[in-house]
Amino acid sequence: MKTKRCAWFAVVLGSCMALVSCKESDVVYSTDTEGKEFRSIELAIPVGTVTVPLYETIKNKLNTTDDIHTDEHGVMYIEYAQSDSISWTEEIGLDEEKLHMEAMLDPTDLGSLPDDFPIPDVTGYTFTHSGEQSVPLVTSEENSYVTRVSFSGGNLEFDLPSEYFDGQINISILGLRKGEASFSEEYILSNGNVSPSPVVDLSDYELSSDDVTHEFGIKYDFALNSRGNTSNDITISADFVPVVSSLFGYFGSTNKDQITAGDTIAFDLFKDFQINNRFSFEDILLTIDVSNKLGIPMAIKGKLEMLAGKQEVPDMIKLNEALDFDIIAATQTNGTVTAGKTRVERKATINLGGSEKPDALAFVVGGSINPAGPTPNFLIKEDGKDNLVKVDLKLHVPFKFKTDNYVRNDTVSFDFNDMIKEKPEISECLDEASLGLSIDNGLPFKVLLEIIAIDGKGNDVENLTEPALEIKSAETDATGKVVAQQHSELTLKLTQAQIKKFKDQEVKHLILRSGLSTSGEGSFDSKKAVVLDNTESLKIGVSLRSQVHIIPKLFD
Amino acid sequence: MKLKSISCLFSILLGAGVSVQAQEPMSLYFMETVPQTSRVNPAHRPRGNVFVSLPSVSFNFRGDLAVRDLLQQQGDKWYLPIEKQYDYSKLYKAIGKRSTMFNINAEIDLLGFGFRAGKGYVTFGISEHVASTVGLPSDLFKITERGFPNNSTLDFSPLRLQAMAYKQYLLGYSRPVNEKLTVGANLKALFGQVAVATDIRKFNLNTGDTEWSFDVEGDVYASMPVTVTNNPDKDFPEIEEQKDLEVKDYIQKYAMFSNPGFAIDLGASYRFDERLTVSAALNNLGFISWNQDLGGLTFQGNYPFRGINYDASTDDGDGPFDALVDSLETTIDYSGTEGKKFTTTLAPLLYVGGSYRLTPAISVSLLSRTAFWKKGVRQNFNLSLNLQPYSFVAFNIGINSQIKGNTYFGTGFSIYLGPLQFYLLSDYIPVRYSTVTINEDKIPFVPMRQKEVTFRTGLNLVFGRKGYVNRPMLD
Repeated sequence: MKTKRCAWFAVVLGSCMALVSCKESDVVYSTDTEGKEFRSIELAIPVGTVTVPLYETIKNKLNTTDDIHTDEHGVMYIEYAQSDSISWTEEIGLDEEKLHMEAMLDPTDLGSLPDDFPIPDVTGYTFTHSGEQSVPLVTSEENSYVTRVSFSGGNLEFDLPSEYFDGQINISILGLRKGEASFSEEYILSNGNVSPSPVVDLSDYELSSDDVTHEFGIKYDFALNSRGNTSNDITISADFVPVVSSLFGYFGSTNKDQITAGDTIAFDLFKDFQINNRFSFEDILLTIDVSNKLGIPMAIKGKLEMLAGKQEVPDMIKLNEALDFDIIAATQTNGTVTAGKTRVERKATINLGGSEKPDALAFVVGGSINPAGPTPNFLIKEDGKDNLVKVDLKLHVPFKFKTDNYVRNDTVSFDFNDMIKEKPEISECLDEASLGLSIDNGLPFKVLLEIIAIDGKGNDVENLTEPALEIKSAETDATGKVVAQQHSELTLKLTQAQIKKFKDQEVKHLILRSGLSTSGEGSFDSKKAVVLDNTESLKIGVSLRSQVHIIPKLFD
Repeated sequence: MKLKSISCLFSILLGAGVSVQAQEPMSLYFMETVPQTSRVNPAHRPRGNVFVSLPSVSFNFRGDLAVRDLLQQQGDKWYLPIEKQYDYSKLYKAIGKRSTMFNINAEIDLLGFGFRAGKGYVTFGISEHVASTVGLPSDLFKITERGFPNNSTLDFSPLRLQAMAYKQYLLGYSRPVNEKLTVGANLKALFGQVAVATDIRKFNLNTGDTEWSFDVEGDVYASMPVTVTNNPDKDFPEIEEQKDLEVKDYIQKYAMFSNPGFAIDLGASYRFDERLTVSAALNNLGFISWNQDLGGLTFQGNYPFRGINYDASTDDGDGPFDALVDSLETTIDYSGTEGKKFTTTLAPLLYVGGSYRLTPAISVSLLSRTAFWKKGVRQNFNLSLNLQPYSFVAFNIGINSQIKGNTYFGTGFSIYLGPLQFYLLSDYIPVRYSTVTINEDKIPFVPMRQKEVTFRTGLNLVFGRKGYVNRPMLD
């Protein structure tokens, strides 16, 4: 019975297992893609939006240290300012060290010596004389004269013949006053000494000349005994080293071809410009403010020079009017000076088009003083310092320009093989792709865009945009301001063959070649300039539609 | 029609909660020698007068996809879903129109016992359960079929994750009503330990080249010792483990009777005559209410994604594509929630079976098992042969078949060594194998068609096992 049951069981169990169990066909699968057809699936994805707010982008990204601002109308501009000053000892030629008196108290001018004047070495000879001279006080400039000078220091040192004579010499200089008293001194010569000291401290002295002759008088008389004389001459001279606090007179009409008004204005706005076509900045405003604390009118002949690497680039900057102007003289009341103010404005245009990149603007000035002829001049020091001609230069450069196909090449790092090095198989997965660009251009220029893939040696591998993509310019009004955006729809296609090229030829960079042309029809010269303001922007919506396939190697 | 009505009824019972399922091998139903048979039908009474169940383990994995569904054979070639020749209609037939599900369940019986008490039979057991369900939306597979085309919509709302661990204290009682009818019930006190469950009511992804948009509405519920902190940037909230939990804290947490729940199994068995017996059981009518260590996420709304926003004036262009991915990840706004109670239900199981005794040692049986889910039912049938050639050994050999699934071989056996019983039951034994070679790598014995594996094994001490209540012993 039991055996029967066991047999029953074995048959049933064995049958069941035989019915259901079996070895199925082996599965052999290779992840190698050769000979396989993979399903192409679509990938539509919004990549995003690129916004280029013009003002902020230029402000943050333009490689310049110059500050970019906006005016009350929102127009962008850069402003440069430079201040400098000229003292009366520089270039105007009023060097106080050159102020001198032409006076020679040479006895030969005073009359002849007695015939019986014993020579040589005659002692005990008494010699007396009195006289008077008129002496002009002149400056180093021609045709100038001084009517009054105030001294804050300096010396007048008499050179008296104490070596050979004893006796006394009285000297009076009319017009040299300290307060009410004129200068008058009696000098005693004895045994080679002079007393009192022949050095006269000029502090607080004032020297005035005759209004008509512009000379002042020197009176002298002397009674001398010779102690042995090796010379026939008796000379009395004076060494005059003044420290002037004010000077009145007429200082001539010096004409200087060039006076450097100060350092050049340096800028780096154009540092990264790729000057390959005409580019013109307009309505640049040059403002010169002169504060003249010299009592001397001037006539200025100026010019602006655009420099590139310290060399002038001719014809790069043009003014609407010559830079010739007069500087008003200061006025004074009881020694208090009121500066003469002069303001000059000129409009300029900068034209770029050669290979030079300007990096500085020089203001070159030549001129003359007293252009209208003799007129009362003065120079008054304040707090012991020379008064100055202060010059403030301001250059206001609005972003108002025009250009015709200004081509700019920007290089973007795009090491393709490095990007896919983790999964090189990715390059095989893309069948084709379309990058959709939906562009709202609020900028007043048209852009022709090319994207070129290059290898590490700079050789072109593939132009991704043939023909170039055109982004239409925004509409502008007569003043060059944007009034309406312009919409463009562009597509950039990429194929598997191009991807393979990127990989095989080792693309390292993308060159973004953009040709900018400001809006407007006609030739470059007839075009109107456009303005850039802080409301303008460029918005690009980027979308991607691609056909890809997935390969097993991606999951290895 | 009837099945639909019944499934409707259970959907109402399941209500708005989330459900997980635990499954025993179908072969256990008719293995009268194994005391655990009362788990599948409370009216089934173990043969031994007394039994003590020692630690045993039960495991079930079930999925809608087999290896062969993903690696299709055409002629002598094999194709993956990324290849042109792959037939997606076959895949969708296997996974269903809406979603494909994966279940993993495990049960450890810690301790149990049972004994006759007069006419009735009392059983008691303590067990630890882990149940999880992952649902993948069918539209997920459309990605490899069609990608993310322009102007299309992918419905990911069937996406789900439900997992929980809980303790179960079972008290069962069966009693013959008369000579023919026996009824029984298992009362189960449930205490949840950790749970996470999603309730995604809407999750659509609309794709296009100018905009992707996520139309979402859903909640994630959790009961676990973590802290969910809202991220001020409205990114995915931060989830931090509660710190300073020592072993004793874990023991305290998991030994306590928190997150209570209740379930009931009802069963009946009708013996027409000496040979024919029919039975039915309705199990796992129950729920767990989670009210401790609560946390979760809520998301609702329509979230458009239009790519990155690159401002040329400030951005330096580094990693725009990383920014694209980051942007996509942070599109949906989540908000962490605290203290939101939730309920998980057990997925009811309906067993209906009949057994015909050919000889005292051999019987044949037919069993239907219907599992009720929130979104539908799963239907299995089992035809088996029960053999007990000797009193100390018993076998069950059967064929299991699933609606919209495969047919498998199942078996079970138990053997006594004195009072110590060892048993092993398994449905869905993989008996078809292939050797899979991928490039140079060879993998033998790969069950290409297998979608489910279930087994239970354990030890019992059975006393008076040879006794039959009102039935003669086998010789």
